[in-house]
Amino acid sequence: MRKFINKLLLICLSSFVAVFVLSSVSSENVEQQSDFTFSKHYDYYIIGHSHPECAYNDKLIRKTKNIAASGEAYFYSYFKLKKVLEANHKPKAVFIEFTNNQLGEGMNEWTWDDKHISQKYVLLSPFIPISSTMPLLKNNFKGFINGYALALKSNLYSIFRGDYKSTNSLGGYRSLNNKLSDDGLENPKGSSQLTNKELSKINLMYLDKMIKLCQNQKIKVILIRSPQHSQLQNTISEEIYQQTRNERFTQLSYIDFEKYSLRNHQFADLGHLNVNGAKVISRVLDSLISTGSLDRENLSLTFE
Amino acid sequence: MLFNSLDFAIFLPIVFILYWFVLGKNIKGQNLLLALSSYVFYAWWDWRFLSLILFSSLVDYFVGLQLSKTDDQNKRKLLLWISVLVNLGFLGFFKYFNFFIENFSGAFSLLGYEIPTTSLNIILPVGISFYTFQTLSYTIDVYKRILKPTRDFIGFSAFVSFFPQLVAGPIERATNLLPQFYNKRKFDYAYAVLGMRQILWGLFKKIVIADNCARYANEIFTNYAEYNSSTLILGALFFTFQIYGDFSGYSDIAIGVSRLFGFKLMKNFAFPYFSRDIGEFWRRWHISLSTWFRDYLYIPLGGSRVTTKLKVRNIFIIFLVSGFWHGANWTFIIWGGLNAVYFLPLMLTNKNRTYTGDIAENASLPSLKELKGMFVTFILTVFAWIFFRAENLSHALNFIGRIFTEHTFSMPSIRPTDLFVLLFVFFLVEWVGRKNEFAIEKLVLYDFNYLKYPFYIIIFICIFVFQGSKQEFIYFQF
Repeated sequence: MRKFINKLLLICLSSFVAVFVLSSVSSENVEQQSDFTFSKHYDYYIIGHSHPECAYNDKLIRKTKNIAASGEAYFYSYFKLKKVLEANHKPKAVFIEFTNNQLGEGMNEWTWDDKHISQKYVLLSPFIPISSTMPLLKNNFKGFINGYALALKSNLYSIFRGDYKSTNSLGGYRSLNNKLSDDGLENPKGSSQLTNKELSKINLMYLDKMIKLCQNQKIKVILIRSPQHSQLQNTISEEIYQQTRNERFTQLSYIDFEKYSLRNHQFADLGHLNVNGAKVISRVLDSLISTGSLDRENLSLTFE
Repeated sequence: MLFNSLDFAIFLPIVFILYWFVLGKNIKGQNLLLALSSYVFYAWWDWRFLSLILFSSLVDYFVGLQLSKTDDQNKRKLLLWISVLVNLGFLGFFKYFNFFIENFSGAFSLLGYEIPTTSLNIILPVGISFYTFQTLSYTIDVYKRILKPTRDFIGFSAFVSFFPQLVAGPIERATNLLPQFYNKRKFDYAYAVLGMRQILWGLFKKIVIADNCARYANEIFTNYAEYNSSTLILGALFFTFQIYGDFSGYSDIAIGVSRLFGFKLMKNFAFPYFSRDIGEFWRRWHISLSTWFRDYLYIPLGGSRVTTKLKVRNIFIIFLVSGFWHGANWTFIIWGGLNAVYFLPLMLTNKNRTYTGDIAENASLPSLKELKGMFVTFILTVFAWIFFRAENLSHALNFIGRIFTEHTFSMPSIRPTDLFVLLFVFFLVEWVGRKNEFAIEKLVLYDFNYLKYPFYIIIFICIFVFQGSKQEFIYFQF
């Protein structure tokens, strides 16, 4: 019996060690080989979740690259931005989406629930140090182990195919063609409504980290709020939103497009612009860049 | 609790340690532990249905005792019927109630009579078809005086609810499994090693083969209207490997886990896709169910020692009932019927037992004749699986119709290279190990420690890296 248990433990332990070594080696390899370099030089990056992903058509905004991706919590944005900044010329500014739903506790799920781990963590795992994955491990052990396995597979495939071009999967402008319907107004679906009023500590912590990352490199940070339909019910109220901004981010430049005058047909749903809406907002942002308005310190613009 | 879950990975060592280290010399204590841990294992899904298992166990236990006390044939028959009605009553209600109501109503509406019916929102208790058949085998064998009834309720409860095979078999015969609960179990190193090896291979089949095939099979069967003919054929092939990996993987884990506790369960699969005709396929696929039907249905009906007309009837009965056992859906009945049609010519020409030995017995490759037989049998089986997998009859017919109406020789639009490689490797290993109980039972490399342990580790890594999205075992729904 003792012999059986000892051998079983030895095999299990060896297997775990083998998986860990394989994972570390492949992760290290992908991390070193990966290429986050853009073919062009950009002065501005836009980062965040699906709101900016659908709102800013970077083809219409000069020297700007939209790297926002739907369902992305700040935890993942931080590691992505870090790699992009390391690999490319220093930009003038980074626009970070800062909207109501990004403050809510629902962002915790975006950080460590099964779905987001299996998508976001798998994509960025070689660039996330083990020590930073502790919140994921602590809050969703099973999900993390599953994500760890998927990440290992993904890294091995990258090595096998010799495909290290990471810029293809960073995110980017997504053009939505549908229009907000009457049904969408009555039964809001697809809007990022949260069901709680608590703040997400981890999301705010990684927002702070992103800000610090940029500031350390003397890159301007501009918090930006993309347009939302007036009927979108945010469970993180405007009061809490403004209070958080005033308490923590008042020294940062800020552009608020939330109430920018747009028609229903320019929205895809209550939280996202369609191609028409994106065209309007992208031109506004482009004109702000071209007129040099963004160069001002402590810029604070609110569009009504 | 799923075998491929973290919960089970914690549950199993705890039960193992208690079983051997705390209760190692106390057989009654071991049986009690097995019964209780089996209830925990089952309650992990839904504790409410524990009462069904307990009730079935109580009924069959007392029926068994009463059968031993009387020689009155009428009374004995009555007792047998009580057991059959209680067990099949539960099965019928939970599994078939809505099916019969809907079809009854449908049949009347065809005749122009509208009958108001109410279908109930019934949850199917996991594994009910398996433990019902297992406990029924006890009563029938006691009735036939093949088996002496037990007077130990704890041992009997452990037999009915034995967690490794409770929810998806193998469906054990009381004559094989029950006596094992009353014999002293001694830990056997070689036997336990074999058990672990079988668990490892079962996990590989389930997690790597079945779950990865499931992803594509589900996609293709769900959105079949969007795919061309070759993709649909590929979808049917993926399901063919999915169901084999899933079910035989489960059986391997069940048998392997039982070995760890000193039990020997019957073999449930014997490399069925290498069968050279349908008769051989059915001796190699879900053996515990096929033999159950053979012993308790086919032979009592007269088996093959009857007139040709009755032979045909018996074959159809056994295959249709077998299909219906899988689920309350016409697709399963058609699947059973189709297999009866495949099997019948062999039966009528007395060729159903042509192949009873190993495949390519003294060679490493099959002969041309064997290869042809294997190919034809495989194609027939894949075709029948389409009915098994389809949601309903029209789904199956549309799926098949689309295979034959679209261009067959177009390239499949889904081509997962990694899965093709995995399937190829899996096929090779199964072929090499086809004369064993399970593919990796005995391999030459086990003679060398420096090869044996890395081999285990490689399989472990493959399971970890190539795991598909987690799917429930298909046979849980039956």
